[in-house]
Parts: sequence; C-alpha cells; structure tokens
Amino acid sequence: MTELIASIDTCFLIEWCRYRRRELLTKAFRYAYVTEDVLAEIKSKPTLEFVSDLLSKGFLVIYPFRRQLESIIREIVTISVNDSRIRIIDPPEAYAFAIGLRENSVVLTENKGIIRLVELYGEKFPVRVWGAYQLLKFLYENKYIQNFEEELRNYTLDTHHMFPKRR
Amino acid sequence: MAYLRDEFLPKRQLEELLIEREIRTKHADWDKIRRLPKLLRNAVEYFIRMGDLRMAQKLARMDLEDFIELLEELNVPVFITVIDE
Repeated sequence: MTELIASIDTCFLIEWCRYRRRELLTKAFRYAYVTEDVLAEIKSKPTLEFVSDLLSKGFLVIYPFRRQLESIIREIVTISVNDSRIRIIDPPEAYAFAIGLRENSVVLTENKGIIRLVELYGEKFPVRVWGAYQLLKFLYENKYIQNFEEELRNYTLDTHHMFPKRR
Repeated sequence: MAYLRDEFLPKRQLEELLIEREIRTKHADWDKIRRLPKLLRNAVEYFIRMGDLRMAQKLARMDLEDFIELLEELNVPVFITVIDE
C-alpha cells in the first residue's frame, strides 16, 4: 500500500478521468486532497461520476484547512504575477500547490505556471509536481503498468494528451 | 503583467513553447476556428499561441470544461508535455 498523498487540480482530474485505467490513481496514492474550487469547476457527466466515485470511496478528501493556505497562496500568485518567466497562477491551481507544500503531498497538475514555479523556485517551494507523464512513470516503476510506451500511447488515445520529445 | 511575449522566456522554455505551438497550429481545424464568433476566436487563437488554458478560458468567458470541449471540437490539442530524453 502506497504512503503517498496527492493534491489534485481541476485540469488534471478532467483529463485523467478519460483514461481507460483511471482507477490506477488510487493505486499510486493513499488518498488525495481537492478543494471546493476544484469540485465547483467540474461540470461534465463523466468527470462528475469519476469524482463522486472517488469521494464516496474516501479516496478524494476535501481539504479542511483551506483558510490556513491564504498566505502561501498570496506568495505564489504574487511571484507568478511579477516573474515574466511564469504564467499567472490562478487560485484553483495555487491551492493544489499550497496543499502540496503544507502537507508534503504530490501535486498532480498539468499547469505550466506551477511546473515553472517549481523549476525556478524549487528551494523556496520544495514540492513534488507530477503531470500524467510522471504519474504513469511512477505506476510503471511500481509495476502497475507493464509496458510504459504502450500505456503512454493508450493515454494519448484516450485523452489526446501529446508527449513530443525535445528536439 | 507576466508572460505576454516570447522574448521574456528563457531559451529552454521558449523551445518548449515553440514545439507546443507548432503542434497546436498544425492540428487545429482553422476553417472551424475562422467561423467562430470573434470573442471565441481570439481566445482559441491565444491558446494556440501561448498554451495558457486559464487565460484563454477567461477570454472566452466559458467554464473550464466547456472551453476544453470547444478546443477538442476544433481539434486543438489541450495538453502537451515535452519530454526530455
């Protein structure tokens, strides 16, 4: 049983729920935090069904200490507004990131602002940020996936997420 | 205001953005995009250029999932991860 905890933002959930083996999320993590902002953004039937299933199983947990994240959120958003190398980070993604920082959880996001923030301010924000690629890699390394390349192709077929190689 | 122009970006980030932009541009159904109302067309073109989903969603004045669905209808790849290997 994994000991890892995740915090998840909206984009990641919307995309991951389209993956044929979406239940693998529950193999990688003991549980995962979301905020009410994330839940409020989910509208489509498939995503709602996926999320309600995870909530009813107790895998998804609504983060109970949201107000205690305010100072971290302010700091993250301010950095993203003032640093021209980082896209402005919106509150739903900022909360997922702040939970990661506070709870030492893995942040699941595809948000480029968050990814860049960690690349550039890693010492200030020592947070593990994973996208689908890193999660699939983790699942492969832990033997939940047999063939990484094939699974990446399946993921692209299901979600249209593309993984080009750097030239 | 951060991140508005390519020249602000360090080389590595610019490389990534250009790869992503090329893929989005190549796959997009431009005939459909040209027929969109101006507000939506601007938002979609901004997304194709910059890949900033949140900003584009705000420009389109749409919910996140609805905007993602619109991009998919227009054949615009929403999520791209450039892999270092």
